[in-house]
Amino acid sequence: MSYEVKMPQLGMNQDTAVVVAWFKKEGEKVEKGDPLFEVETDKATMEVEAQKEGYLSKIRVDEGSEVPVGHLLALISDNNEGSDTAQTDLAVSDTLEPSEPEVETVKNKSTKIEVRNIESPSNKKELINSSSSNYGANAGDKILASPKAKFAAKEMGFDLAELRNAGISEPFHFADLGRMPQSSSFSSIYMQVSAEAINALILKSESVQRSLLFSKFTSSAWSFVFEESALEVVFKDTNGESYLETGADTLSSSSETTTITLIDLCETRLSAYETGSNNLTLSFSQLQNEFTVCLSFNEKILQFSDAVKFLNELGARLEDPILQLI
Amino acid sequence: MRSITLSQAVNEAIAEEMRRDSSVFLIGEDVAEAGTPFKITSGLVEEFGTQRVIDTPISEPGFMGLAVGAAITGSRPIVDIMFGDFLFLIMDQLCNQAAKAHYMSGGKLNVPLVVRTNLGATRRSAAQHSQSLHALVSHIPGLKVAMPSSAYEAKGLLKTAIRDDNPVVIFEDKLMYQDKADVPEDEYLIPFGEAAVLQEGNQVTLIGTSSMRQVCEDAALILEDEEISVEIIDPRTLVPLDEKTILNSAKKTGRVVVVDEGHQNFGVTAEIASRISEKAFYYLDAPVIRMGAMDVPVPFSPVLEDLTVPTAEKVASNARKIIAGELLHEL
Repeated sequence: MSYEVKMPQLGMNQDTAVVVAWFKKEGEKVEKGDPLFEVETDKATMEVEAQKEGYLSKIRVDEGSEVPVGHLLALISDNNEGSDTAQTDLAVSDTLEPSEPEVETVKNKSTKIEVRNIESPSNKKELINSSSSNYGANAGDKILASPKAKFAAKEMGFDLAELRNAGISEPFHFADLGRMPQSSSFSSIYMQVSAEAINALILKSESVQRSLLFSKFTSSAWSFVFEESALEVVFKDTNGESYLETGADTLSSSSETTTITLIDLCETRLSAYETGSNNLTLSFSQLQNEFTVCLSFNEKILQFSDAVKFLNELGARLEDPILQLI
Repeated sequence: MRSITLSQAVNEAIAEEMRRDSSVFLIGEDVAEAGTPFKITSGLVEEFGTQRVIDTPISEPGFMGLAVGAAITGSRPIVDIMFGDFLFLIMDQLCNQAAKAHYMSGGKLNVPLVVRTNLGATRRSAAQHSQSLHALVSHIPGLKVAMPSSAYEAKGLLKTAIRDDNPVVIFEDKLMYQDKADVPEDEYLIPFGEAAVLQEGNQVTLIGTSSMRQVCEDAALILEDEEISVEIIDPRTLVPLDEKTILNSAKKTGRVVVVDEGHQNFGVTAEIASRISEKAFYYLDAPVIRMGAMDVPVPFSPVLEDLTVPTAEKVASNARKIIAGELLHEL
């Protein structure tokens, strides 16, 4: 952060003044109250004190130059960084009208005057940045939205800046919130469960397919936990192709249908597949006599506790398939 | 149910109340022999006589002052002000005397009078006979203001007004006198401060006073063809105003167009829109739109006069824009 040092107004009818001398060099440490520079008007010569502690980072006006009141003379920075920061700051303030510094009473020649806290334009910009930081990158540039949209966004914990970043035109209305990407709350739960029973079953009868068992147990565990909700099972193979395994139960077609994607990784060296999307995904892998089952879900759609319940039910069925098949 | 004109409904209300209460009398220009220029009070003088249906000279301040005195001393006068524009002539009697007597007497005096008058342009009556001046009296504490929007409301509100112990100004739209509506034969009253929700919807609320209710209903028909769901509210009385119904609707739809035939500047639409903005701000998804009469003296030229009042097309267009999120004014 840096403070602007400007040419003070020392008399009622004074428009300009001459910087006679700088008492500090660029980069030099400045204490509050240190004489900073000497200024001469047609009536008097005065010393001006530094109002802020810091480092004199950039002197813009050479000794002997006459400049208008309010003209930027120098910057005092919090830290003694290179001139880069100073340059940027200057570039910012260049584009803005110099504000008139507040000056305490001037009595006569060699009166010491104090340049009070000048809130520089660049300083103001930072203030805006910090106060509206929740509006993201375009801070300082007010986001236009209807009161309802703003209120709803706040309630939902959404950042309206995301709509701006998504290129949706302003002002935003309530309906625009629906176009906002859902903030992520994707989770994965892993479960390890004995594969012995399933493998024994497959050994006994060649007609039994492992993937089919996975599908059946998934459906059964689902309907055990979510009685009302229908489940549609989609298989995704390791080539990335998907096909529908079982459609939703027609009896419960009136209620909401959830789709779950199953991926059987047992024939691969892979251990799990996490999607990080709204889609519900279950991956199955096998190491020795143990399955690793991974459920990926969005906690905004499927509650964590329900996910745990569902996975536990699935685990019970995998461990004791005969019981389930009976 | 039978259907009668607004004019008949007003006539019935006056007649019923005069039969019920012998302290009720009617006074004004041309109310007896001529039955007013709109033939509203025809037949009353035959039933109640010239002692209770009183023709006056052209002297609004005089007979209004008389009525205030009569009201304070136990009568219940109905004052007929032939055109709403003539309210300017009775401002002192109405606003300085009638409106304040109860307060300034510490509640010892009541002024149970009714001023019946009218509003509305597009009757080719030019600038001094076409104004809608209800905002003027709504501004004065101590007066109640009713705005019937059909024959049904005209009868029910007028009967309530006559029975009210406070001065009430009731405005009828002079273009609606021949409009018919279902009116029960049995007696009924419409309480003050209860708005009517004429149609429920959830995308936009149209609030229409007096004849602007019809404009809102026509606008709703246009919008329904576009599958826009419209809620229509008729406040029925401006003072007291049923803020609750209005705010609930504004909160539900998030978009409101307020339509009234008074001039838009500093008008009834401004008051209603402002209350919505203050009290339902966080529910609003669009600026509350005011639609009043154009801020010009009402022109005599029919072509120009028709341009000064809100129309169903204009109301529908504004509603459509705020639903689409279009801006009516530059940012």
